[in-house]
Amino acid sequence: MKVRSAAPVFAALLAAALAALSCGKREGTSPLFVLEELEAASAVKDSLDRLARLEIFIRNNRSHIYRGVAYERVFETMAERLGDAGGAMRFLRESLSDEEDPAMRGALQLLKFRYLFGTDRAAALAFADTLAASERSPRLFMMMGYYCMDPSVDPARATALFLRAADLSRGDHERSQAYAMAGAMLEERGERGEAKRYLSMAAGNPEADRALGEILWAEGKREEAIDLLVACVARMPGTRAAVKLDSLHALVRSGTRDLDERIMAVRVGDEGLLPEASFVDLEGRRHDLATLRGTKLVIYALSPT
Amino acid sequence: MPCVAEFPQLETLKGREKELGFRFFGLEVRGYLKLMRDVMRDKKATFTILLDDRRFARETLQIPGTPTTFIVDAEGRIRCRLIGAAPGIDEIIAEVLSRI
Repeated sequence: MKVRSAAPVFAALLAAALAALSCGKREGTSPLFVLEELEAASAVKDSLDRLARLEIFIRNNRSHIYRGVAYERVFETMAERLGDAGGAMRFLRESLSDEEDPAMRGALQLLKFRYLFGTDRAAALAFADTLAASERSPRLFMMMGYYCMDPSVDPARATALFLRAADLSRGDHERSQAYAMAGAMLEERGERGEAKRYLSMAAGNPEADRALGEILWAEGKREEAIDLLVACVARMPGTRAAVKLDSLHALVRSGTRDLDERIMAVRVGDEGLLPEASFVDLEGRRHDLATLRGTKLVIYALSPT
Repeated sequence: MPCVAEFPQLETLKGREKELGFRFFGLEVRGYLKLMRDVMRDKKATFTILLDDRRFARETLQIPGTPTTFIVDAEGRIRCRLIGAAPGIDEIIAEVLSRI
């Protein structure tokens, strides 16, 4: 009996497995596996090969959130490594034609806006104007507003972008952040009346509490100002020195212990139940928040950049 | 890199999990796997990093930026939200944990 080599069989099985990975549904795929694939594509040294690998990644992960990172890397490779701004813009246009997810569309539009803001500010501002009616990502408008806080830009433009972000917001935290940014920017530009109007619409937001507290202190309303600065430091502890809370508080009342207690009384509250979710860690282990009930948790949302 | 600057304090806090009766998790929101691993190695950090592959932090919890810290009690209620980096963040978190 003739023994056939097993090599072709293994090759066929491997090809089938790779095809399944490339073309099949990715919903059940571990996010760690998807990210490993993305990093492997991103690590390719040759820029053109890197682009090809990243574009394959995008095609294979059309519904995965991490395609957003691949979009960033394709754009960066084209615009910065290869100096092909036209190609980068064409890539964004084509990607947008395939995207319906508001957050992903916003991320793509933000790439273009940032690039233009750094190379042709007038074009960036004109581009921002075109997005108001068509895009629905609050983060896009927040970020464009943030860029437009630059002193060279008319504050009315930044305000309009923050207000659009507030309109599109999905909850109180996002909405108050947008009003807080508008108010803080207007305060910096010396438009105190308008600033106070937006800051008061963002009550409870630490940025707003800080800006409004500083305004009220300057107006001599010291007790109200201290209440707001305490609220700011309670939620943004890193601002304690910057807002000079200890020295301002000492002018109104004596005793650091009293101040620490006031801060802690605001700091600890109740935002309601942590929504249930499950995540994979860097080693591929799954963690389900619901199964951790009965244990106190500290969750530190971070970026390694 | 405000988040990374806090890693030594976070590692100290992680070392107090048993004493203070809590679990500590980092939640990576950008999808930068290699960079995250590089930072963990460089900083000799050992705490668990979860991959946020559903915009949980940005859309569900509506964080304004990173770092943002959530402290959750044993009943699963969010009792404290701390925005931004701060000197002595480990002591601040420990103090909140002792009150919930």
